[in-house]
Amino acid sequence: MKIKLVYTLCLIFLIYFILYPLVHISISSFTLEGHFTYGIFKTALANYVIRKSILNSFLLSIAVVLSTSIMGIPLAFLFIRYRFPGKNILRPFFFLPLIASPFVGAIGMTQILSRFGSLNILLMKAGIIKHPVSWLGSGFSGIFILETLHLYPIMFLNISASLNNFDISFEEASYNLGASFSQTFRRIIFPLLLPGYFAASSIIFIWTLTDLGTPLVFEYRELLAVQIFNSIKDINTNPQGYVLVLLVILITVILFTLTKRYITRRSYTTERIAVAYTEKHLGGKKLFWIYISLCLLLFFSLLPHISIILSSVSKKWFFTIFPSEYTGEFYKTVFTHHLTKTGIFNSLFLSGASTFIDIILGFTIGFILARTNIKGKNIIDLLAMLPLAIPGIVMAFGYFTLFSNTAIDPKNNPYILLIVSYSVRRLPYIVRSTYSSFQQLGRSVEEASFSLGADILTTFKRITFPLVSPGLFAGAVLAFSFSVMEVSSSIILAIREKHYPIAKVIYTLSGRVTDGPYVACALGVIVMILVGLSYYISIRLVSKKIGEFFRIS
Amino acid sequence: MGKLTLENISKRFGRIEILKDISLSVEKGEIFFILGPSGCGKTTLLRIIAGFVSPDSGRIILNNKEITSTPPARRNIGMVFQNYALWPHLSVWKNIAYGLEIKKYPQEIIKKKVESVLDITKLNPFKDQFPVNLSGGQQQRVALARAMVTEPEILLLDEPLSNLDAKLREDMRTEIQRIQKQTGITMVYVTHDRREAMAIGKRIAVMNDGKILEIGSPLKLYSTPVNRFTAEFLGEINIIKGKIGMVFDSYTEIITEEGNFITAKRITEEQGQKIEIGFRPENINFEGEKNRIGGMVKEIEYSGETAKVRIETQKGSILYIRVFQNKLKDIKIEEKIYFSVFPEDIIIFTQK
Repeated sequence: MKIKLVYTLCLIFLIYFILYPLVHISISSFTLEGHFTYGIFKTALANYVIRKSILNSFLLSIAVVLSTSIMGIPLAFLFIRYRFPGKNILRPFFFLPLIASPFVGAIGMTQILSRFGSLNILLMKAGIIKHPVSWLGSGFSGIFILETLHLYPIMFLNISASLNNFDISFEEASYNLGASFSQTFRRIIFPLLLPGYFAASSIIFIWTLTDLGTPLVFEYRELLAVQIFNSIKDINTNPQGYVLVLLVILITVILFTLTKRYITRRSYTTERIAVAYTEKHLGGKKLFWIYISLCLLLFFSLLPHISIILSSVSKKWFFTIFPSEYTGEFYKTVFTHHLTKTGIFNSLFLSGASTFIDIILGFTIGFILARTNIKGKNIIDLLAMLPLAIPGIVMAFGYFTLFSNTAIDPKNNPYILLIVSYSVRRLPYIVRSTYSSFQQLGRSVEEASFSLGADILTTFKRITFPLVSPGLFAGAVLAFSFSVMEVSSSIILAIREKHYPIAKVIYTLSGRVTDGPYVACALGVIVMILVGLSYYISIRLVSKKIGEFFRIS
Repeated sequence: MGKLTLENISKRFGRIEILKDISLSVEKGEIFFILGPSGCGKTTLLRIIAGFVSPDSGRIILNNKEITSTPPARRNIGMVFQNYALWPHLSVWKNIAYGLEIKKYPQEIIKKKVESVLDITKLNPFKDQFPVNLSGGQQQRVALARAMVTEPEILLLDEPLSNLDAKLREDMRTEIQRIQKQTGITMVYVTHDRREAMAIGKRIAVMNDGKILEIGSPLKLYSTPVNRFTAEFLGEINIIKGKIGMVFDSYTEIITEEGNFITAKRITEEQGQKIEIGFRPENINFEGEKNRIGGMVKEIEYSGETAKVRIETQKGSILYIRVFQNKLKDIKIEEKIYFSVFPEDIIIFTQK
């Protein structure tokens, strides 16, 4: 009976904060003054800027999928199939790009890529170019570079996992029948990699499509995400935003359904038989070139980080490759300025609260899924997993439009909605990790406790919880740091300065002319350290690989 | 059909010596077994023949041509992988046709060849299925068909039956033997299962610890092994320590704690040298005069037509004998029993 009540409460929460906003967006896209209409669609698509933005967003996302493929796939091959000195030391560095939000990186990168930024100065000094090149262009290429450098590890991770999943003998069987490497790659390896590749591509595509922070920093307006953001201000008079968000929802639903079907239908995970020493050895001249290219790749992918760090300590940085004078005053400002201070306080509070909700809710749902036979389990499972596919910008847009002029109107106080949106976004990870902990645990450990005379509560306290908790806390630590990094909902839902979380503070500062961008970078460095630390802690807690947090399965 | 020769193959991985100076040769149309416990290096040896691992030293010769550094794709040596390695995204037909397509055969020939190999392996009804939908035995046959269809010089089989259950294993054993006879293909078959090797092998190489201990027919290896490891690996055996006594023209006397034994062979080793002798539990009789041993019956373990009897001698050695059911009425637990071993059934191990 009790479990039924808990189930109902969870269900109400999920319906109200996940399903309801989506339904609201869908209905509003087709309703004008209480009547059903296709009019909003027509008006929106008739608008040149909107058509251009949709096209640009698609182009950008496809380009980023391609560029991350070009970087990630060879890298995965190199690290999975070859053995070379320093491999295990080098590998973690390729995950570092994930710890900096690309929009923070964007602030730093403008220093390097701008007309008189480091790169142009360097190239001009070397005599390679005569006049400064406009690397950022209108901002499109800047966004492209930042997204690529941020997201290629996701490709790397997914392809590595797929490569690891199928046995090397699949390839050997092909060579054995006389096939060359290119034949084997085309006919055996690539088809087997496809599910993993498709999954990674979907994540990267949707991420790029819905990232709001980076285009805002580059002040590039003709993208879907920015159009959605702009539409919020006058959503009551111009409902075009609904249509745009619905479009995003449709794209994500299609991509994730395809991925899911593709993965379940063609799961090529095989029972691996340990064939020892399958990694090929690399040495000599080849190794030299591999090192050179790895170092170059690493340098470019860490360029945003380097630029943020340099900006955060540079006193003077004009027309030179590196800052000409250094200072620590921006860090002092971070901890003294009222805006940054409230930002840090707000973020810690909001992320902490949302993590708390995640732990309670995630654990409960995980428990219900793994240990009860309650009717409607599937519904709760589906709802809890839904945020995996819903971009932050959609969620934030839904909350903003749905809860305006209610008791939790974000214009008055966004705390509740921010907490809920942060926690809902990370809920799937917590549910899944708890669920799998329960699954791995098996029932017999609990039954053994019962058979020795312990009651349910004692068993839970002494057996179940201690065994499940490492996974739970690892998830919680990650959820916390993800919340601190959460850009879209922070930017959309926090309206007044006193409610700003870190992400919005960084965004606001980056637009201020004087020392704003530098302070923003200093704050960005602090967030980077926080995120890096939390990855480290959660990996230590459960000896899981970081990749598992960036995969669909 | 190919003839394969390995000359002094050695391989180490880091500090571990996996293969130590392996030499052997496999005749045309032969089914040759490499038998040994797991970790003895037999799979590595097979992978060296296939070309997936290159040896540190030594030569591989196929039909009088050295192929030591030829890449696997150009060796024309087929392989059946232990886990079959069937490509999950291709149908049975496509899995099998792959090798022929790579070799750019015209479509009609591919069709003919695949169909004929489907017939041989009795896979015709499953040709459009995908590997996941097949049973273990069927997958096994697809792997075999895929490796055979290109008519390789040699077919390598890496523990091909180890993933099947006991009944199926016996069926497939006969099946492989039939296919080998029907096609006359040269096979090198790696296994750790002595029954498999003895059932279909014409010659067996016994491997342990990276070395080939001895090569011979199943009967020779079973009844007159030179090496104690071979003797124990191929079946149960009783071992008694002793030293060489008098050496006669046609026999030798061995002095042991359990009394003196007579062998049917003249030994070249010197008198007084420590050696071991052994005999198989089933090679005993109750009528003979020579090589008589007595002891207390401690345990009788029935297994269908025969029973294994544990005997403790006066000196405390444990010996096993195997007797038919009809002899069991004379054998009682905790009663004394005498049996003897014919001199020709005594196996002598002079090597360390």
